[in-house]
Amino acid sequence: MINRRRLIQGLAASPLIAAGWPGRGASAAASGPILSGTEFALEIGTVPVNITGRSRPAAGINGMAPGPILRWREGDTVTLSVTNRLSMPTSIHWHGARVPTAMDGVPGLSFAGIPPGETFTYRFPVKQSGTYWYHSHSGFQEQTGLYGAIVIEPETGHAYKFDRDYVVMLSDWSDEDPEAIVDNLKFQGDYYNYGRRTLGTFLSDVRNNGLGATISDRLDWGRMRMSPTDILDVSGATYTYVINGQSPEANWTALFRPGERVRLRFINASSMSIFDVRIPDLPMTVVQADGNDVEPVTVDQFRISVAETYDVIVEPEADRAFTIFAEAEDRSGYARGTLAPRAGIAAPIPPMDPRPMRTMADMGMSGMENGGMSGMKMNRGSTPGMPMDMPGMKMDMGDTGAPRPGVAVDNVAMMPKERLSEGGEDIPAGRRVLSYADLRATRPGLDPRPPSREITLHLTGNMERFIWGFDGKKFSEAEPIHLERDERVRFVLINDTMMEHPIHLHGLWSELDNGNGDFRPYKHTLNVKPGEKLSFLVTADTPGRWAFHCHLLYHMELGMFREVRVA
Amino acid sequence: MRPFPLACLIVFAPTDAAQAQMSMPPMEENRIFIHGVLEQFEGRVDGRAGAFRWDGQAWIGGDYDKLRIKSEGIVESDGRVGDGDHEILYDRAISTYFDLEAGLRSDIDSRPTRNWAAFGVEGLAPLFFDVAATAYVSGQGHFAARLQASYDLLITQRLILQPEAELNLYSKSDPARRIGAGFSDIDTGLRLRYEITRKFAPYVGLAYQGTFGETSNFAQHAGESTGAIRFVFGIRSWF
Amino acid sequence: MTRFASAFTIAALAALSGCANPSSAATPAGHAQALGVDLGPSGTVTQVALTGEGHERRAPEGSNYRLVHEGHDDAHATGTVNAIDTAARKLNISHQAIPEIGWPAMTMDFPVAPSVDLKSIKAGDHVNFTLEKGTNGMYQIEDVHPAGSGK
Repeated sequence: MINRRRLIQGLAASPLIAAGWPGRGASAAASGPILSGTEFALEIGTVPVNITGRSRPAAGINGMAPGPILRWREGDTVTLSVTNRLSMPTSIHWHGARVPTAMDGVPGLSFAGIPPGETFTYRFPVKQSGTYWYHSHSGFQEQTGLYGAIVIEPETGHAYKFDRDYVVMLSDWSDEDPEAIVDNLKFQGDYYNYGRRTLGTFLSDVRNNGLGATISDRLDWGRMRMSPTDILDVSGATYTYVINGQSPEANWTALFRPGERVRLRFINASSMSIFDVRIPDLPMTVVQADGNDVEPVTVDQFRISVAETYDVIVEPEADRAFTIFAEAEDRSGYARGTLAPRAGIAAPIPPMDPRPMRTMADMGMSGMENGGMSGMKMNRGSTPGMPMDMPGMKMDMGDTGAPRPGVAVDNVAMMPKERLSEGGEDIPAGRRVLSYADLRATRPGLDPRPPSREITLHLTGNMERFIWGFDGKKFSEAEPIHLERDERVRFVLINDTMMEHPIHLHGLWSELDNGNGDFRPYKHTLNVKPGEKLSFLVTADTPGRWAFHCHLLYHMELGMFREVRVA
Repeated sequence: MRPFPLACLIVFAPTDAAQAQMSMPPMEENRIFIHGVLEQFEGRVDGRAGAFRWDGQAWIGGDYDKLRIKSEGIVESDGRVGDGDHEILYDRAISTYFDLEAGLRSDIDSRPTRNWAAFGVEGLAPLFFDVAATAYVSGQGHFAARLQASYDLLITQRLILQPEAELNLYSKSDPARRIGAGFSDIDTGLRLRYEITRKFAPYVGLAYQGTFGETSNFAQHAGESTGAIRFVFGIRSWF
Repeated sequence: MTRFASAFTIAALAALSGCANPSSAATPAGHAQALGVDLGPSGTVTQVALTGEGHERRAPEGSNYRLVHEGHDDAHATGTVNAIDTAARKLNISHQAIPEIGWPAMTMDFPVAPSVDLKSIKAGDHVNFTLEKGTNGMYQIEDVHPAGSGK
């Protein structure tokens, strides 16, 4: 991960070719180069960065962390030679790109990784357009800066007019070694949670809700040995949240002229952070999600989970600065940038929204919020106070793979429910927030066939031991999921944990069932909420071994990973 | 059920090195971790005499199997080491919150050494109590038991009040170690720690060392206190 | 053990970074000018882009299905009418594969355009029909007549 012999500073020697269209890129000294064309030489090495005031080593590309923006054109075939100057094996995965499996960049599934000193050449046709990103799929390199944006120009031109176009890549940076972060979480699952309930919160809850209700609530959660304050595993206690590698103090700024239409390509390139994004006083019109066109929907805020992308168009009319505000879901920090008519000015930073609290609905016990919880133990299938003959009340062990509580499973959602129209918690009145239910593709799907079968997977974990998996199993404990070539399959995901998991299937589109029928949105990453049950359709049109995993980096590395094998 | 990385190679039966590399897991989910914690590392004072007390453990292992070592003891101001209890245990995770342990215990201090086989459970009980219950058998067929519990009450995010208690029982008295049969002694305390970092938390508090029944008598005959409250100050740390 | 190695490495790197060449072409993030790079305007928005093709221009090689529409907006098909719903103006047809739009043989409901006269069709008829994409993007029947009767 860290090259102990050499630090690379500045641009690597390899020439970077810009061919195809007139240079619109900027010089390297601005805010990072853009590489355009069809031939790319990328050199991965250690790069010093200073985000918090301390210089720390990052894993960078061509001397930059985050890496350069790659600009491709739909219809071209791109060739990318990636040279590894780290002392550890590396890899690059083109997130959301529909490539042959050998070009997908996952060590152990696509190829053997790129050993130190070696060069691997990716070559594949570009058959899509939109905003995507790339990142290492080796170890924790993604956490130390090995990521960057991909912008693919559409062959037939844009469907929306805009005058400016900026990549807004959100991420989380820690000066700590990622190995140390995992180590800390293994000892104490809530190591980074500085929002836990205290005597102070107990007293204020008593003031607001009364002693009886407060004690009853504490007993409910205490019996489950869970905390409603568990929002993000790694928080602002160690993270500085960045936009395009810039901390809030550095204040990444995008310029515009009043009255112009500006396209902002939001990418969540973080390892563990879910952001709620808003630009106070400036509504955003969402036009693409995960690279694909959606019917435009105008919102004031959207939640972007790890690995997702949203393209929005804003029209700032006033001659003033606007703050691009991306707060971490647990409100332990924020990333911040500015949209301004000239450099050097900034808008006020709004106060962060209140910190969300998990509810019984997040535990998969919707409808049981009002009492009835006393005496309930999670590893029994019934609860006193509920009619015993209610169908479906016993935890349905009939669905294959449904886990039972155990070492790797601390909860099973008793009544998982659909939560597609929820965009966040405690949203202030008047603020329009995007939800998955709002995403409607502009064109009907490519494959009109109904699915021939259904595959159900439970997202499971044990917060206390910091173990994560599917169906209570880690990658090495489970079999690959086999799909037949060109099969049309429905995946059903049930989140038995009380945290969001952004689930990503490599290589194949995930068509989210959100009530829009044939106009279901094509996504590559689906954020499954606590206690939620959602489904998506997949056409297994490209053969190979595809990774299927939670994109929270530390969950993935600890086993929340599966292989989907199309043959 | 226990994962075993080499199993990947066996399952995929590679015929050459490239195939072997392709079979490697995309991530390392069966990593071995090493941790250790000193729950008590403190001076105990009461105006007359002071003592130094330690109580900690360390472990190495994965999610299911670990090797644990525990150690506790107290050094009185006259140099005597008491309450020596050192254990080495195999720890197996058996449920969401509990582990089963089995191993050996050796009471090594200024008094005659005793050795035991140990069996117990340890984990997080409902309402967030850390509990441990261990049973011991000696070579002579004597039994002993230890019950431990503690609780972290958060005053603020970093200021934490921790009541804890450790209770010992023995089936047969052991005069050489001044231990009586039945409930023999309790070591309990209330400690207020401030987590400067998670891993380094100085604390102050009060500790009570008490004796029961026959153990009490032994203490009296020896001119020692049968129960005393002392002020404690120390550091809780882990890695 | 790894923790100590990491700590040593970080200390060594910190020491090394102190004597690194200060005149680098790209300054580390955080010191660099924090201005965003404009990727440029959209250019003219074309009609093709607005109504154009599916999520990909070219289907993956060798796949058994193809893009729903590759530049065509209407298609011709043959099938057997199973049921007619005059009130809802729907026909349920078991049709053969429609290569023009990449559909396999299926049985499904089709909405029928208002201009089509359903009185000439009855259940069990073998028909030729023309499909066209309506304003909502769904295929509907623009024309249907018994097979063999000529246009």
